[in-house]
Amino acid sequence: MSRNVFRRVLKAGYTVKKASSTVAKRTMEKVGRTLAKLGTVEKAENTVEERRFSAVSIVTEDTGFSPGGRSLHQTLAATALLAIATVSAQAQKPPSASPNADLPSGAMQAKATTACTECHEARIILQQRLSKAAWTKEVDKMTKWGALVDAADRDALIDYLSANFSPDKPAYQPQRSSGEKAAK
Amino acid sequence: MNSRRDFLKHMTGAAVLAGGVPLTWALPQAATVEVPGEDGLLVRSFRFVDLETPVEYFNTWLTPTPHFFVRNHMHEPSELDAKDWRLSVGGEVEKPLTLSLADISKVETHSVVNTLECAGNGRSLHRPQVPGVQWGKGAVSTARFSGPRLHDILQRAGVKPTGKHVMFRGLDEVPGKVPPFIRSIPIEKALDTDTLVATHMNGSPLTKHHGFPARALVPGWIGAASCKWLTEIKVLENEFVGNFMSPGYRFPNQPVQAGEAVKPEDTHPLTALTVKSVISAPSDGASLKKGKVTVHGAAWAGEADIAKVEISTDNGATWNATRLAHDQARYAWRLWSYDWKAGSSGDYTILSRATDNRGRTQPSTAVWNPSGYLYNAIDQVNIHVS
Repeated sequence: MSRNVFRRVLKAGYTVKKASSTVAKRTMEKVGRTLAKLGTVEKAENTVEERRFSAVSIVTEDTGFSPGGRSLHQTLAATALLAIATVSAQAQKPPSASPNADLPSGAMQAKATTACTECHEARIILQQRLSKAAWTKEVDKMTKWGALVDAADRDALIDYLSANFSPDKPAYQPQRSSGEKAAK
Repeated sequence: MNSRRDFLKHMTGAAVLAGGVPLTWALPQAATVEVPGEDGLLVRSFRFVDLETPVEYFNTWLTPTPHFFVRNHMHEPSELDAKDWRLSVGGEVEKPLTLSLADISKVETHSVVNTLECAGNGRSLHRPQVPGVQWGKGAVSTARFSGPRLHDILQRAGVKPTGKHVMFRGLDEVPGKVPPFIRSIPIEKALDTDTLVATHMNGSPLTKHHGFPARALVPGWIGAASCKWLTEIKVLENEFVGNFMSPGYRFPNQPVQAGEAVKPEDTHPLTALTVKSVISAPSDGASLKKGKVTVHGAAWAGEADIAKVEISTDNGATWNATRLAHDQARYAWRLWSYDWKAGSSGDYTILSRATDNRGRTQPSTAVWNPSGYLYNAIDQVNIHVS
């Protein structure tokens, strides 16, 4: 089984307990039919509430994602597993969200991610509803505290935060914790 | 090595599209974030960990530890070994000490049931909004904390007459150039026989999220006073100088206009909590049937006692006394309830208002301040009766 596919899948960072064998069989057949027809599973991104779920990219064509080369058979099997996990999770319980949320898209997304999430995750930002004046103070304070913000990017970063997290935006809806594993 | 099991373990929730056709499902509404040992809490932040207790959990006098809110300013210590842990006691003392967990455990244990509330609890409700963790109503919980009295430890070290403040340093891991989380309390509160070096919570050793192996427990005061992962106690001549004493955790001396900047010299450090009540049931937005509706909640007042909690179901025109539950302790919240007969259908606003034995009553509007501390306005939930 292709380790690369698994590595790719791991990036999604979700958890599932068990796969149902009946569901697995049905899904495997369905995936087989679909893949035989299409050959390709595209990358997809879905936004739910305020975090993004990065979907898995599994491509059988010639892409950088498949350095060692991989047969349709391998891809199909991996995709089936993925689908089993998905269906199974749907049947059992809400999935676990990625522990660390993402900042919204935009020209400054990458730089804001680098500057801010070195020390704290994006949720701290997602829940703020601040004026531009307040964002300016925050950015300057955080820069003093070690956030790496190029002087040339300061104003654009403040604009990005002010546009996405202004007082008129709807209230942030937090997720809940799941503590099934025993605490240390 | 990645295996099929690892794959299944780490994979769920991704929507698989085949040529744009959904193979399986739409993503579910509410995803949860795995935080071992912490269940059903509102995730304000995962890294660093800030978790809020939903108000519906305010239904037991002692909050079970998995439901107890978590407030961290920094990253938790990555390595904590009870065997290697040491607590140093120094500064303005006759005989500096270095104590192991075994040493600490030999000191007489004292227990205090304390309602611990983050100074920023309710910050999201201030208008205009202010920066910081956007706590709703649940950065507050109650537990029985146990451990040696700080008084007894300081007595062994011998506080010099010059010692007027006691500083706590924890093992929090500080990112970037962020100032370390160090604060101090006045010597009078440090020597109060209810102030602890707590090692236990609800009868069990502290969990990591709550400061294992030892934390300060400064009862009735803002949560920030009760430093977690305690490793250093230092007696000082003056209040500790640092970000989390000033400008952090200070309150304006005089009321200010909402949105107004406040000079540091016009502020004082936050100490004891204020008077407050929160409605835990029915929940905001609930639809209920006509008839008996029991309104539940909790009320606390820091170092003071709750004298009464009143409920209004007519937007504040009339107020009705609630029953205070039997369980009580000096620094702990009181649970309360009120049986309301919802006679006719319609939309209702239920208000709760606590008064303490010092005559303080919850205001209709909380005092706005630049960091959003001590929100304590009369609580309200809106419900529909049909």
